[in-house]
Amino acid sequence: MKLICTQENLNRIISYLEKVAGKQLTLPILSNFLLETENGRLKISATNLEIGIIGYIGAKIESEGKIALPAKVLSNFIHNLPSGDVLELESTPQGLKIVSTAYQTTIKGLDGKDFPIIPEYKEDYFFSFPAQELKRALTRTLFCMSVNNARLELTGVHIFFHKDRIELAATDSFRLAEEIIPLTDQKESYDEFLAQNPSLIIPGSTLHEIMHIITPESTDVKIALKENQIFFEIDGIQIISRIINGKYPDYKQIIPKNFQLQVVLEKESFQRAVKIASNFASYNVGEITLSLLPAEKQCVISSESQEIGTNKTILPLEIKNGVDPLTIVFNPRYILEGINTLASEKILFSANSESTPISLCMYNNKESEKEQYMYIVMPIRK
Amino acid sequence: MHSCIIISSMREHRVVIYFILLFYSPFLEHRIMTNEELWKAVLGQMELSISRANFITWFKNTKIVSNANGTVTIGVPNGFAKEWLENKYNIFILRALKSLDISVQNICCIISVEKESSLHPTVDGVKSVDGVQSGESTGFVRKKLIEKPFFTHTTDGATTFHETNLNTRYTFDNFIVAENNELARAACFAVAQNLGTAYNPLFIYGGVGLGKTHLLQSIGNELIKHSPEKRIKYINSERFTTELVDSIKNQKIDKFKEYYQQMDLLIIDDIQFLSGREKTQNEFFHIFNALYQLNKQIVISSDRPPKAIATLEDRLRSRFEGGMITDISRPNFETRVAILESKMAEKGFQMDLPAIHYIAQNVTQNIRELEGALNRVVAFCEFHKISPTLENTEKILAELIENNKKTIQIEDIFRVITEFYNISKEDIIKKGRKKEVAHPRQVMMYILRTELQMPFSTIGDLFGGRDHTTALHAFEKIQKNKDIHTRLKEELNTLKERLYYPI
Repeated sequence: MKLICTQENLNRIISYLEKVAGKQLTLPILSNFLLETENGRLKISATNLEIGIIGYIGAKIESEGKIALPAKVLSNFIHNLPSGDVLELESTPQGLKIVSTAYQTTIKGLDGKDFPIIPEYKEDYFFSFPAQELKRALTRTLFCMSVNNARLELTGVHIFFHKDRIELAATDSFRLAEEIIPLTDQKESYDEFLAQNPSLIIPGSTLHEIMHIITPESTDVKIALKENQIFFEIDGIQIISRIINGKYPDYKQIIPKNFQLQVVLEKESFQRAVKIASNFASYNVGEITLSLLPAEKQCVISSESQEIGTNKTILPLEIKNGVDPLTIVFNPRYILEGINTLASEKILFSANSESTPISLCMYNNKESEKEQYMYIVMPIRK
Repeated sequence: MHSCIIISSMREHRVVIYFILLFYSPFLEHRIMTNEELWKAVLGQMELSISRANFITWFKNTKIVSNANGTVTIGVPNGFAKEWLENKYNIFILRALKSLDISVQNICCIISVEKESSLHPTVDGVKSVDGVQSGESTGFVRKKLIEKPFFTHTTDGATTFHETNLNTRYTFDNFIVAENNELARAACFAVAQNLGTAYNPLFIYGGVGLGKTHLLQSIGNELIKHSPEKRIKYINSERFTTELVDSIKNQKIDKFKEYYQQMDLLIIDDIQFLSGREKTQNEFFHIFNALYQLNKQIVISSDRPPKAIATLEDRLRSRFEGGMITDISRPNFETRVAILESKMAEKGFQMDLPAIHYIAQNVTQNIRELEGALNRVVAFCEFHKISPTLENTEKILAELIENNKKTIQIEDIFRVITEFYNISKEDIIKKGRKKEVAHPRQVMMYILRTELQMPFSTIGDLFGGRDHTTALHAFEKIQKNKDIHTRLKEELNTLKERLYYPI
């Protein structure tokens, strides 16, 4: 194998792939990238047998071939090269020789034949998602996902497909985030797909990679489904992953339809108060108390622990609806993570009782803008 | 159902035959290999021709889905395995298949999902070892302060929250059968196949770390595999008591009873801890009766037979004795070697035969310690990058084995004997041949000989200057009788246990 390519191109692809090529003890070849020439381009792939990613870069191919190179060594070397360099790659009996203006390296590789074959999707993709919206939705939902493998179906993001929109949801059963992405002018194949698959669960780890690969310039994410595997293509990079088989809980039923009490809080001061309070919540209990007092127009955030001490913050609030005071106990982490996703200056906090889910959402004075994002948290029952 | 017992080793043969005798199964009529047997045979061949890492990676969770018209369809868990088997191993697999079944012409792979879902059962069983788990997920009795999850059950909202407490690691497949446990294993397997009708209740007893929990959990896991709709509960008696106390405190005793009475299979581990707890025994008695009346299976384990559990109410004892009682005894040398070999295969670790024998010879008391010793050698060798030869193994385990030996001294034996038989030290040493004294004396001489390898003359001196032939006679008598009288064997086992694991 002999070819010439630019450092920039190679570096970009490697940065997409490096997380997948992890440390695999069982099969050492999995900690390698596979470099091979294909149709006048350089194809680089990596897999951990759950996810596979394939990227292509333009290169001047002088002779064909393939080689598997240790991912860490290659990426450390390429990242540190000055951008704008032109690299010459040539396989030698000692390994792959990489020569740039000033740097000369030979990296020992393995036979490319031993590298797993990543299934590729060569047909037309069924449909596509708008990339930027998808990325935003993922940043606001993925963190809710469960990390506990005991409930496998909760370790992924659930997608409901509708004719004009998709609904993404993630939950660990204590909190839930849902975002709706509107879809416009889809191909006919989408309708066929829709008829067969009303919903899907995609593993969270796959979506993390996808978030990573979507750049500000990406426009769409193409998607296809075949034999229980899902294929994505973003800017020419293919990602293949399994999907999670399981029944996602019927989360729609627990989203409260209306709220007894709705108040508006300043985002920044609320966030600060919760952060401070969380320091006083003892480690194993990890709870803060929120008292909403509509009569006094006050919100009291407090926490205490026997070892550390006590803390109390009083914030003003604006009442949208409701009169009765309410005291709710929370895990501060769930509240903070929820606040972080909201971009507005004010937050609408809605609740019914101390043992039913509460919701956090952005509050704008303009009622016209319909919010596509929703975050709900289950309080701690005393 | 019976065809799923696969003969994979000579050791299991006996169990299989045992089953045929038990159930007059139509097993003997199967002459053509089933798909499952065929695939096992292929896997056996493949395992020899490729590296272990490759074998595990690519052949895990594979099976034959169909075999018709010369085409064998192999179900694989994911696309990677499909590509690899079809492109790299196809010739090997085909060759192996052909050697077993000439009619096979070609193979193809499909991605089958059903296997995956059975690996992660949707019954919301949070896996836990010995029922140890965090407060958040304890059974139905919730701790006072928890966040209530939105969803407690994924399949349908109506069923109540329920966990089996089973650990999927324990299965019949990875249980090593030997003569010390084959009856117990066969009984457990029979129970898993014929719930509530084969042996009810099933009572298993045996010392610490001999595999009781493994067998018990295997029943549950086996049952989940073939009938996932059954309600299974594995609990140790300690947790059972705690839940009972909690429910009394919260005035939910009715719910507690109701919950346990709806189980299809109730497994209670370490029942001996119920001794002395009258209220718990009482509640357990009612639950037991309710389940028993409905022909629901109950499996119980203990470290000693029901008769030997002090302060166990008579009505409970007689009920336990009404079912099947079976014991697990200490593994013999060959079994210990077999266990070590299987553990090493699991870890993918290689060790010289003399080193394995050394471990098996020196760690004799229980399987958990055996595994501990092996782990220690593995970790040490991997860390220091040395090979596990006999010398290295000796060095690594020197401390461990030394400790084991050092712990028993003559005084310990005296203490255990006097406590057990409730006689004084002086009585043992004094002259006098009353049966109450003579028997303990002989047992003690036997233990001194077997555990401390004392010369007979020293033993004689220890007992007030008796002749060495007296000691020899005692040793031979006990040696002979222990094989005849199970009671004596039991006694010796208990004594040994108390020696090595003082309470």
